[in-house]
Amino acid sequence: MSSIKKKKNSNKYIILFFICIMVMIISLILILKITKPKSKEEQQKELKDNTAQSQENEEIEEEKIENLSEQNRMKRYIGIFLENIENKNYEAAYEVLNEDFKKTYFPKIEDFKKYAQKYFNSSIGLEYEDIERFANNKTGNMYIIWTIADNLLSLKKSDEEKEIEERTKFVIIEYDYNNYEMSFSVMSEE
Amino acid sequence: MFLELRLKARNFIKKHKNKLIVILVVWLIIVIINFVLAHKKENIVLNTTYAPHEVLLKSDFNVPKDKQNPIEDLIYDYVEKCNNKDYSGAFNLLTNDCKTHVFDDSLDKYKEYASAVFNNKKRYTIQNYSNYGQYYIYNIKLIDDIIKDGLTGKEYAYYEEKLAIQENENGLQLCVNNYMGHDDLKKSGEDDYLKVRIEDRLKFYEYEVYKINITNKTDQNAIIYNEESGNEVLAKIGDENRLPTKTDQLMILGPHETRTFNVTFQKFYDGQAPTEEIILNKIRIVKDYTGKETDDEILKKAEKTYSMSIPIQ
Repeated sequence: MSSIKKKKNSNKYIILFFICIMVMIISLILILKITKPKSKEEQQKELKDNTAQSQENEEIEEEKIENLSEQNRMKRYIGIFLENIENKNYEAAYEVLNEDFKKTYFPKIEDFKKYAQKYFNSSIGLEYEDIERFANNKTGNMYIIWTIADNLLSLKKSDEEKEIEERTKFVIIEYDYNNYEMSFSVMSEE
Repeated sequence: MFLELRLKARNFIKKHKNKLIVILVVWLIIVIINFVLAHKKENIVLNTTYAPHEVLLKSDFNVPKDKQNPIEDLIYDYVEKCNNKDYSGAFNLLTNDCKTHVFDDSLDKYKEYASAVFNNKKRYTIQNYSNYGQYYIYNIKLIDDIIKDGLTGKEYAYYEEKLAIQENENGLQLCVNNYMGHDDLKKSGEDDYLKVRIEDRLKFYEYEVYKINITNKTDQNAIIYNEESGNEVLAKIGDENRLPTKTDQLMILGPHETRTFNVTFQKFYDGQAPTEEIILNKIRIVKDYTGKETDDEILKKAEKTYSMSIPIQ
């Protein structure tokens, strides 16, 4: 009787041992799969598989932005904002504006569209003049960027154009790469 | 053949059962930690040149790594409390020394100061400026929440002051309004004409305020500082004799009069040369004084003209 019991016990140990070995091997394979860097071919394949072209572009954009200095990142953010306006994608430009700023100056997107068409149209070039950082690690980094807007198409400038040739200040708070909100000094419509 | 292998395995497992269990448990723990770490999303640190704890001025010591986050938390907490008008909470973050000597232990006086500085909701930036004495000194700049208006119709302007952070038995605490410390000096000088006692010194980042108590022992007028003569009161700081930037009143005493004056000298808290003495450089003892006399007339009238130095070290 006792020898049968002993044999049963020893079988239990053997089963347990093999289960442990199996668990170890499976875990090892999983870890290797997770931690192994993807080969170039795999990455390329992954890229090809990615059918959502816009998402792909966004990733590339983000990767580039990470490599930029903060000054150039701010310029890029303003560039994207102006590009959206130029491409008549007013919603995208409107979206990055601070909510309180929008409420005060452009409660409706039509208001912003009208303003943008006048002051941020493609004939107006922006020259970056200065940048100031107001940073802390708790509430995000705020940047103030001074720009001079200049009408590129006109040699003889009308009074209205001269008025447009003014300094515009952009204020940007960057929370993460490509995660920011902005506002700008609104020119009076007198 | 398999029977033999099974027997060997069985014997091995029986013999090393406990060790195997320990190895298995340790291994499982390693696997779990590895898995967790591999899936942990790293905090993204933005690529900036901002280094708030890199000291600007040459200092005796740097802010230790383990103090950097607590200091940031303290300043954030302070600004948040002020922004939310929780002045009582903000007052409690100050050192007792600061509460006493800057605000006379009065929450109302503190509210007056804080509500003037935090007149609107503010954003802030900090930079370790200097580390001296018992303080980590940070420069704090406060600005309105300009993201809300994009500086429309406004000029870029901010308020700044030095915050001194001290670690004491209550943990990290703040000194605000550029206040750095206080010395109970109780230094005296006396002669036949005057009894002078320098009671104390309040140290701010860019200046020092001396409380000077003077008794005129004579039956005549004592003119010490009337803003006429020049070089009347001086502070000897290193090799330099420095004029006061401010006095709360003219230092003119009638016969047997005692008064207390607050005299301010410019001096950086972390400047190397200490203040060695206060010099009352042109004491004039004058019998009849109307206050309308010119400097020459006073000198002609004066029974005694002399200088007195009170060492304060």
